[in-house]
Amino acid sequence: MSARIRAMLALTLFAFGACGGGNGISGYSSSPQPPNAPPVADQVDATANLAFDPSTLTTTVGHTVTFAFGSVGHNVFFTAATGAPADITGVNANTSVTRLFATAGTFTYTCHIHPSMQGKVVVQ
Amino acid sequence: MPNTHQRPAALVKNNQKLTNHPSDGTPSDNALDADGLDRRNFLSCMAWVGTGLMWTVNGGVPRSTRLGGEPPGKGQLFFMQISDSHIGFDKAANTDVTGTLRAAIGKINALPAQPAFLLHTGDITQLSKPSEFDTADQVLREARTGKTFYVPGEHDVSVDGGASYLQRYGEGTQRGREGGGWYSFDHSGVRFIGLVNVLNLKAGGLGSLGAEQLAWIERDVKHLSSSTPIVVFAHVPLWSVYPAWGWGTDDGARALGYLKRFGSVTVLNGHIHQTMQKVEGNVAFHTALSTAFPQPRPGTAPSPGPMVVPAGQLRDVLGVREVHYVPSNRHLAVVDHTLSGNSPEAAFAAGEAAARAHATAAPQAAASGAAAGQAANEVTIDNFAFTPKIVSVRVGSKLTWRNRDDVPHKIQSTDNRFAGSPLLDTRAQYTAGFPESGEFPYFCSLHPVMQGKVVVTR
Repeated sequence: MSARIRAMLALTLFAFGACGGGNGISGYSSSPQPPNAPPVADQVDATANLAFDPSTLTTTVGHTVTFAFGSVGHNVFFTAATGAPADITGVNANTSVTRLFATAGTFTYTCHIHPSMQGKVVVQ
Repeated sequence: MPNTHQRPAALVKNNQKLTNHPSDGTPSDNALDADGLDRRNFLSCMAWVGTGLMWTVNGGVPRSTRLGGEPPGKGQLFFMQISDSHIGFDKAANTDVTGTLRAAIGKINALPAQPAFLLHTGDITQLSKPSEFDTADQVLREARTGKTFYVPGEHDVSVDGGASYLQRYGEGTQRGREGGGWYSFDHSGVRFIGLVNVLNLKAGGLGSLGAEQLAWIERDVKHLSSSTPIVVFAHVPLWSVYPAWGWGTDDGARALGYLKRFGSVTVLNGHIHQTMQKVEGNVAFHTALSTAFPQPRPGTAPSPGPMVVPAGQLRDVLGVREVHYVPSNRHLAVVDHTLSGNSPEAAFAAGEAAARAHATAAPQAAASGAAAGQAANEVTIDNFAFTPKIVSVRVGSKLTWRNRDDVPHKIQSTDNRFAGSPLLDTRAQYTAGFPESGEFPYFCSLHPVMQGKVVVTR
């Protein structure tokens, strides 16, 4: 793929990923849980491209989720909520940290180093 | 300067779509569901919901025309922020910084309505040279709005502690014993406060405002009604973005403490050459793109500094910022425009990946180079670090520092026990003699997180 096509693709993805709904603009709306997503372990990768992957992870009460950090340092701060696990503070690189989700609910989190990185864990 | 523009703030009905949004940046999930947005989609635009941040994208995404394309309502204030022009920089990350500054001004001049003024948030020049300031002035005079307010970056004050900057831009600004250049002015009912946080930096520290300036801020806002919207602008971010790279201000929280009672505070910074935004209660923080070159996002490369992006993508990562004051909104609406109109994400990611790849390939070369090429009495400055960090020399011998970075550095003795260097541009070197034994800590007075030590033994 040429650099130009890649750039255009990235731009297209950005345009679709940007928000539209709620502003009177008909926006792109993906299904929250793609039907053919491969079954994955309860793991969220904090990537070098500044994203949590998957950005939404669904698990069940009593399961642990592994936050896997690569070469670029990140952290995980949960929005205050009953049952939210402890934050993963500091700068974490080339390591994995697990958190137990003992309460049902939706727990959103961000990386304080890169505020654009946001994700959530849905505990059923 | 600064001229005080007093204009009654006209209450205009506009931008209802913006006011529909929760303005505290933390909309609830319920509000979200009511909007019919899925979470992934929502997260990608959360910052915008909170603060009005958006990119204008080529091809005309409708929302970009709402703020960017329509003339502001009658009496509505809007202005532009530009930052980090680094006139005089000529390295690979951008060999024509004058051209890109001119393109930035051209982009502003092409707007259908002209801003009330420009704010330049510092690093006008690379090396504080008179010719660099002259060039910047010449390009900025091409702006149709005709009025620019400045605050200095560390590159503008590094040679003479800000004397030449103040001579050019400091008329009417406040002076203290340890520096000066801060000021405030009113426009359309908004109080603008320009701060200087790049002088008298301490070893190991971050940006600094200092006691005199803090006392002035307290006095300056004392008699203002809490409903007065406040815009604070300064070079180095006033919040702790990434202290490991020096991206923060040591006493920034104290300054913001004086602004706690105000309902709307917008903080505009530069220095980190990328947009970042954060909302904390009544305060919205924004850092701006540069007009010269990008720097990697925090921790994504071995060090900060000018970052090379793939050919053809430079203008994706440079830009200008449009700021609208909408009287009925809590936060000012901020719109970032890249020079190309493209989103900067892809170019940032590509530049960072290349920097990481280079760093993985380089250690072997660097290690052998250090063993073979580096003399004993020598310290190299590379990737914003002194190597070796602690160096031993014999009494009576000399030590030489060589700068291999694409940015200038300046050696300063932490306790003033040896003569500091002049500004060391790329490839420049500096030699100091050490006639007495002892330990001599030092730091870079532009980037005070960079520290080293000379141990002089008999």
